[in-house]
Amino acid sequence: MNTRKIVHKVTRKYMKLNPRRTAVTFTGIVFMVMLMTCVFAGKSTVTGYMEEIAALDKGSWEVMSYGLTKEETDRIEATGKVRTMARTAALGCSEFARSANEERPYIYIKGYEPEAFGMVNMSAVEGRLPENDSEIVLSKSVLDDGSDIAVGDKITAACFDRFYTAKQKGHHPTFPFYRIELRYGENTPVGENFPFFYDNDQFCEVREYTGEEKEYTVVGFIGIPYYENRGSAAYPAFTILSGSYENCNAIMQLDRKKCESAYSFRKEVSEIAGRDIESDSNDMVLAFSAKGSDSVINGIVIFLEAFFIILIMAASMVLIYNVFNMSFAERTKYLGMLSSVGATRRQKRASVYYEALSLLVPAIPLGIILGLGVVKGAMMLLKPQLDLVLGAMEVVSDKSVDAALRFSVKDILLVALFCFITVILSALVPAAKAARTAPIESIRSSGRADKKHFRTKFSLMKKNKAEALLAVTGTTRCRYLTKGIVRSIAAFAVLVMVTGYGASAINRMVSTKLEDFEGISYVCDDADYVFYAYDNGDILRYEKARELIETDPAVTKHKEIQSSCSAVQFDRSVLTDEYNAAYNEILRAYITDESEYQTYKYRYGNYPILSGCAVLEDEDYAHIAEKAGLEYDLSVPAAIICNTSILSTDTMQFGEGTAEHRYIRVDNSINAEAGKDIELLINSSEEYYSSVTERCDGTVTYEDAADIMKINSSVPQVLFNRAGAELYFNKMTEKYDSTGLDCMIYFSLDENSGSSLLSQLKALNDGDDSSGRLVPAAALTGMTIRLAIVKIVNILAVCFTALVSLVCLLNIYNSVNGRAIERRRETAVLRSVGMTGKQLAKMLRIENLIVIARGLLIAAVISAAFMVFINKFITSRFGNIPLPMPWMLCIAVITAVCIAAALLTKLCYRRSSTSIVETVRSENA
Amino acid sequence: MEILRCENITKEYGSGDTLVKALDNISFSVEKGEFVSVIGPSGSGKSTLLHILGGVDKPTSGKVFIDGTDMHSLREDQLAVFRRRQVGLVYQFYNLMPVLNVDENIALPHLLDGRELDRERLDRIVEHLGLTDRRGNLPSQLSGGQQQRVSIGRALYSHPAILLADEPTGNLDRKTGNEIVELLKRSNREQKQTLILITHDESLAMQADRVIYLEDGKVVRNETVAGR
Repeated sequence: MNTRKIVHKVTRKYMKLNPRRTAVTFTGIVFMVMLMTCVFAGKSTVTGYMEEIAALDKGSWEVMSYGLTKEETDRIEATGKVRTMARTAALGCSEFARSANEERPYIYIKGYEPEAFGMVNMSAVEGRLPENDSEIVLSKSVLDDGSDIAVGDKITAACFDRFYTAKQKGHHPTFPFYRIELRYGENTPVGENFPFFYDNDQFCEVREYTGEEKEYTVVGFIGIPYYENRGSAAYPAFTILSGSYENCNAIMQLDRKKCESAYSFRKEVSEIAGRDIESDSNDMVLAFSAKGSDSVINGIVIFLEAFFIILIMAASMVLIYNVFNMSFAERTKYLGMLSSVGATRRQKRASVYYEALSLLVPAIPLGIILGLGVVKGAMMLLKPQLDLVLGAMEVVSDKSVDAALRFSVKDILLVALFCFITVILSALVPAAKAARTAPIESIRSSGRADKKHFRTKFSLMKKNKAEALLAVTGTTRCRYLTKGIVRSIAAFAVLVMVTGYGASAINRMVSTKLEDFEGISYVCDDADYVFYAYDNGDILRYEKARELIETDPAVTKHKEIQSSCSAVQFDRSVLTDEYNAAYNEILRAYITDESEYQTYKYRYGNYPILSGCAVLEDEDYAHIAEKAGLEYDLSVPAAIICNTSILSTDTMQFGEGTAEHRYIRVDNSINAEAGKDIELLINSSEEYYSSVTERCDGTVTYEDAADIMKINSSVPQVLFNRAGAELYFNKMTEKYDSTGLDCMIYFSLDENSGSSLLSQLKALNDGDDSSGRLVPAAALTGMTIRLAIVKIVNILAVCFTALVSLVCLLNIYNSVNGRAIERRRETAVLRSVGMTGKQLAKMLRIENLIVIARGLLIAAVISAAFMVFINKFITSRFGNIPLPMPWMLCIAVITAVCIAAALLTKLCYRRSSTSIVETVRSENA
Repeated sequence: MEILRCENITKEYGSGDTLVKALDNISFSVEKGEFVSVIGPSGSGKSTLLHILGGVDKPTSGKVFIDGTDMHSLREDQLAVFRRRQVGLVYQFYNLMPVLNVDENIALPHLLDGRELDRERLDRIVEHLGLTDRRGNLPSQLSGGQQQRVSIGRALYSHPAILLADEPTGNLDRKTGNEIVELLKRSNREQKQTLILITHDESLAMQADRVIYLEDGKVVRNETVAGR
C-alpha cells in the first residue's frame, strides 16, 4: 500500500469516526449542488415559462421582417439561423358589405402560411382557421360591431390598395399619428390601420385595384389580433398564402444557438436583401434569454444571471469553507499525527481534497435530483399563484401556460463544473492550513489565543455579570472560535441584502422597460365602480351622472378626477438644461446623422412642449403639497408642478428608426419656483401664446404624488387646485367648447341597499359609450401581460431570495452547531462549577448579540459596496432608474438574523448537551 | 462535626445482562476539616463516587448529605447553586474555561453566584498558588501544573464545605504532583478545608487522615491512617 493510499485510508477512517461532521459537510455540498441545479434548471424553466407568458401578448415569433421577396426569404432561411419561418403577404383591401360599422367599411386581407397563425397567437374563437386559399377567417371585432356574418357565408373580394390625396393646391392635410402629409395631385399610400374618412373639401380616398378578385368562404372568426386598431377602416381577414407573390413578410423564430441577438440578425436580413429592410423583434419573448434587439437589456440580463450564479457560489463557498475549516480545527491532531509519521505537505493537502471530492461525487447526483425536485416543486407551488396573476388578464383567461421543468444536459454539466470549482476553491484555504500542520500539533491539542496576555476584566467581574464576562471573553479573546458564526451571519446578511437589492433592481428594470402607461392614473384601489367620459364626452350626461352619484345615499365614498395628457403647454424656455440634455440624448439615440439632427432641431426645436395636467380635489392637493413640504392656499388659483420626467427610447420615438435603449429620469424638468407665477400656454395650433398665469405652489416628484396618483410621462405635469383649474379651463373654453379633460368619478356602493343607481347610470349613456360609461373600477386597473410579467418576476425574485436565505441559514446552523459541539466540554465545565440553565441561556444571548453585531457590521460594509456596484452598473448601462436603499429589507434581515441565531443556538445547545460526567472526566471531550 | 454523609449509595449502569454496579451500597461519613483519601484499583468506582459526592452525577439509590442537605433531592438549578457554594471540584484534566485568564477562572464560581468579587482574597489565593506572574494568561498558555493550581484556586475561592479532588496529580510529573498535594494539604491544614482525594497512588493516599478502600464498587476498608 503506497503512502497516498494510507493517507486516504486514514482520511476515510477519520470521516467515519466523525459521522456528524462528515454528514454536515456532505449536507453542505449536497445543498450547494442542489442550489446550483436550482439556478441552472430554474433559469431554463423560468425563462421558458416567462417566454410562454410573453408569447401570450404578441405571439411566439421573434423577428418579423417586412417587404422581402420570396427568393430573399429563402436566402434568409438558408443561413441556418432561423428555426421556423412563415411567410405572409398583404393581398389588399376589399369592400365589406356585411359591416355593421360605417366607419369600418372594408376588410384587409392577408395570406398566411399555416405556421404563421400559431406564431402570432392567432386561433379561432368560432369555427376554424383556413386550410386553403379559398377560405377566410375574420377578426372577432366584426361580430362585436354587430355584423350578421356567420361561418359558412361567402365573401366576394375585389382587392385594392388605399391612397389619400389633397383636394386643394397649397393645402397639406396632415395626420401626425400616422406621419402622413397629403399633397395635391399626389396619391399617398396609407397602411392597414389608417382610419376611414368620407370625402370632404380637403382630401379624399383613391383606390388602385390589384386585379385580385375572389370568392372566399368564411370558416371562422379569430380573437382580435394584437396589432388591430379599432379605429382602422378595415377589419383584418386572413386566408392561406398560395401562388406567387412579389412582396411578403417573414415571421421567424431564431435558432438561438447560432444567433447572437435579434439586433444582429435584423442587420443580417438587410445585408442579405442588399437594402434596408424594416424588421420588428418580439423583445418581450427574447428578453429573458438575452437575445432581444436591445443589446443594453441583453447585457444586463447576462450580467444579472452571472451575478446570481456568483452569489450562489459565494454562499456555497462560505458554507463549505466554514464546514471544512471547522473540520480542520477538529482534526488538527490527526493531521499532526500524519505529519509525525512522515506525511508530506502535499499528502496532507491531498487528504483535505480527497475528503472534499469523495463527498462531492455522491453529492452531485443527489443534489441534482433534489435541485430538480425543488424547481419542480417550487413551480408547482407557484403555479396557482402564477395562474392567479395570469387569470387576472382578460386576454389570456382561456389559455394556460405550462410550468414544466426544463433543463438540458448542458445545464447538468455546468452544475457539475461549477460545483467542482466551488468545492475546490472552498477547500483551498483549509487544505493549505492542513499542509502547514506540524507534528507538534498531534501532541498539543490546546486552542490558540489571539495574544499572550489578557488583562483581567474587573469591570465584568461584578455582581451578576458573570454571563457577560464569559460572553465577552468567549467572543473576543479567541476570535477563531466565533469566526465561523460571524462569517456565516455576514454571508447571510450580505447575500440576502444583495440578492434582494439585485432582485428589486431587476424588477424595476423589467417594469420600467415594459411600462406602457403614459400619463396620469389615479390610485383608487378601494372603489367599486367608475363612471367616465373621455375628452369630456357629453358633459350634460356626465354632470347628470355626477349628480346621481353625489346624491345617492347608498354611495359610501366617491371621488371625482379630471385629467388630460395634452391640455397644457409650456414654452421651451422654461425647460432646464438637465431636461434639454436628456431630451437631446434620446434624440441622438435615434438620429445619429449630424445634419439630420440639426435639421430636426431647427424644424421642431422651438415648438412649445405639450404637457399633461390633473385637477385635484382639495384634500388630494393638500396631501401632495404637505408630503412635499409645500405651502399652499386652496382659495388662490394655483398649481403644483410634478417636475419629474421619464425620457426613454421606449416612450419617445423620433422618426422611423430604432435606437439603442436609453432611460433618463429628470427630477427637475422645468424652472418653476414655489410662490412665483408660472405661465401656462393654452393648447391652440393657431395662437400659441395665449396664456394663463398662475401661482406655482412648488414642485414635486412622482414619489410625492404616489399616494394619490401614478404618473409616468416624458414631460412635466401640472396638478391644478380647483381654483387654478377654473381659471385655466375658463380661458380655454372661451376658445373651445370642451376643456379636453377626461372626467371620472370613482365610487363605492353599498350593494345591499337596493339602490337603483347602477341601472340609472347604465341607462344614462343609452348605449353610446362615447358620452360616458359605467365600468367596474377593477376593469380600468386590470392586469395586462406586462403587469403580469412584472408580478411574476417579483414572485420569482422573492423565491430566489428565499432560496439563498435558506442556504445561508444552513450555513449559520452549521456554524452554530459546530461551535456548540466544539464547546461541549466548556458547557459541561460551566455546569459543573455551578452555572444554572438560565445563566447559560443569558450567556449565549449576550454572545449572540456580540457575534450578530460583528457579522452585521461586516455585512453592512460589504453589502454597501456590492449595492453601489450594482447601482453604478445598472445606471450606467440602463439609465438612472431610482434604486432606493431597501431599508425594509435591512430591518427584515436584522430581525431574521437575530431570530435565527437565537433559535439555532437554543436548538444546537440543547442537542449538544451531554452528561457533565462523561465530558469532564475525559481528556478530549 | 459531620460535614458529609453517604447512605447506601448504589450506582448502576445498563440493564439486564449488561447491568454493571459501579457502586454497591456505599455508606460513610466525613467530619468537617477532615482529609480523606479514597483509593482503589481502576474500575473500582472511585471517580463515580466522587462525581456523586460532587453532585455532577446522580446515584441510582441512596442519599448524600452535605452540611445536612440531601443533595440529590434538589432540582437541577438548585443543585447547580448548591455546587458552586458548597462543593469545590478538582479534576485530573483541570477543566478550566479556555477563554478566561487565571484570575477570571479562579473567581468564576463566585461570580456565577452573583456575588461581588473580593479582590483581596483573589490576590491572596493567586499569590498562595504561586501564579502572580501568570494572572493574565489563558489556560492554554499555562503548564499542566499551573493549570491544576488554577483549578485548585477555583475550588477554594468560594470557601466550599467540601473539596473533592479526582486524581489531581494523575496528569502531572511527580515533582509537580507533590507541589499540588502540598497545596491541597495546606488548605486542609490552614483553613480547615474538608478534603476528599481520589487516587490510586497509595503513598499519596497515606498522607490523608483516613483512607477508604474501594473494590468492585464496595467499601472494603475504612481506616484511620496510623499516627494521625
